[in-house]
Amino acid sequence: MRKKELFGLNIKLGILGLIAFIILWEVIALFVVNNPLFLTPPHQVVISLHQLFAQGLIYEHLLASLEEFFLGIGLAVIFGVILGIFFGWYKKIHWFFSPLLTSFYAMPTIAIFPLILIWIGLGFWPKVTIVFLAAFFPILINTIAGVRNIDHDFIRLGKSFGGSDLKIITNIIFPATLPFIASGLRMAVIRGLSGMLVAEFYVSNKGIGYLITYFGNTFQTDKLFAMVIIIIFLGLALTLLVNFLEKRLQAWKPEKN
Amino acid sequence: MSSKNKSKKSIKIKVSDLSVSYSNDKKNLLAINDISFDVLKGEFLAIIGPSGCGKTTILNCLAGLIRPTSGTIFIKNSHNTLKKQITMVFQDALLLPWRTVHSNITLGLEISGISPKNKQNDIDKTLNLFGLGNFKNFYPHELSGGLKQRVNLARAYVCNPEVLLLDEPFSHLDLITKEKLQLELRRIFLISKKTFIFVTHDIDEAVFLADRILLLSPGPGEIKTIVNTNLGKDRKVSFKKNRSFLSVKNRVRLLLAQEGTK
Ligand SMILES: Nc1ncnc2c1ncn2[C@@H]1O[C@H](COP(=O)(O)OP(=O)(O)OP(=O)(O)O)[C@@H](O)[C@H]1O
Ligand SMILES: [Mg+2]
Repeated sequence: MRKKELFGLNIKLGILGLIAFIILWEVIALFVVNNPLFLTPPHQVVISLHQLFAQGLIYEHLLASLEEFFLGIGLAVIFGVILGIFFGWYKKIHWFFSPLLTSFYAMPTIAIFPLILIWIGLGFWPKVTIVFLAAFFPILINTIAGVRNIDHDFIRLGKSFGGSDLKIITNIIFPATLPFIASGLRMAVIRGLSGMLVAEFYVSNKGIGYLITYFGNTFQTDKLFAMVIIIIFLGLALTLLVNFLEKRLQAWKPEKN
Repeated sequence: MSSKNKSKKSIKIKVSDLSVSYSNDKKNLLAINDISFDVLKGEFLAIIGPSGCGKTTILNCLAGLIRPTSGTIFIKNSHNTLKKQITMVFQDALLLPWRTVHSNITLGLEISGISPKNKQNDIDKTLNLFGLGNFKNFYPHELSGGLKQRVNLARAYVCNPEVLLLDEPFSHLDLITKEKLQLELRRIFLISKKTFIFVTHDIDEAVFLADRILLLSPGPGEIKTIVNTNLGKDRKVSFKKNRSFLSVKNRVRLLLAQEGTK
């Protein structure tokens, strides 16, 4: 029997690609561009990253952003799923709202940010609203699609037991829709993150988006790169979180391969 | 004994002048045309007829899943006020893939608002009755077709309805599995003292299982005749070689064939 290796070839090659990219970046930054104001070499980015955390500057901003983000996403999940099931269940109501929903889904949420500022004012809540709107529509649309996808026989089955709509929804519709909700959430997380950043670019004195504009305006390119790295990790962590949730929910599924 | 038996068989369901038509965008299809029949309490009634003659439609009406276009269905209440008089077993097992066998079986209870915790005894009994005791923690994708149908039956049975409607539950199964389940279903029927209404298009199955067989003719569905099998209570596999069994089977086959020439 062959010894089982910790990392498969796919992962090894992936890491190799990452290392090659960093080396290339270092070489270009040092020997081709040779101007840290334009392109900071990766080793300098790592130092700046360390500084950001060591000096403690980042924490306050990271916390503020995460608060906006999770509040917005949380509300989007609650409202998106409930309304999605409702629209999926009552076709005619969905048809009534369908053009509106499709339009809002197609619109980059940030386009109405100035309006939101006029309506809500400055501060914490307009940013939460942007995250909410960015995340709400993908979750809603996916939930509706999930409810629609359920074999009608399962609903007949539920009705044959004489249950209320609510019982059928909680026992059959909602669990059957979970995979769709998860794909909606995957999209929502990335959309919400970009919405949050842009909102913080505009008007804010807190948050990682604000820090980015600040470092940009003050030409601290190394810190700018450090922020990009932080955002990449944030996006990755959130995606992994969604993957994890999805796996947990579908633990019953047969292993593929 | 037999006279006592007869006096016990009161009418459980009375179907009078039932018609169902389906209307789609333009078409109007008469699926069931003016049928009337009685179902006796505690009997095993089979409904047989060719595909499309309206068998499922009749069951859906009895289960209250569709409303008849005209006619009435009267279901006699029992003294104990059960919430659920009738449950239906569908042709496809329709098991929820994310639930184990055990929690698939409790679905009907949960949906009708009964906590499975209070019914653990009934659930265990039903699991054993349907030979599922060793499979209760399995997921549907780990089960064979026969086992899936057992779960399908058990899920309806555990709700303890007075009447069980079964819509071709064995039609997707291989012959060996099918005969095994027929045998068990007949045994469970005798134990349960419930009323069974079993839809099939398999003559052999109908004669083996039923006390009475309702023969339907298609286009639109009408009752051709009702055959009393008079084959007694206990039925083994060997019973299918009996002369009386074969003669009933032939009679039903001929009656159905006559309808073909209509
Ligand atoms: N929802 C529906 N809308 C329109 N027509 C229908 C609908 N359901 C059934 N029908 C039609 O009504 C007739 C009777 O259908 P039904 O399903 O009751 O037949 P069946 O005897 O159960 O057939 P099978 O043996 O194939 O299951 C068929 O012609 C069918 O096409
Ligand atoms: Mg049918």
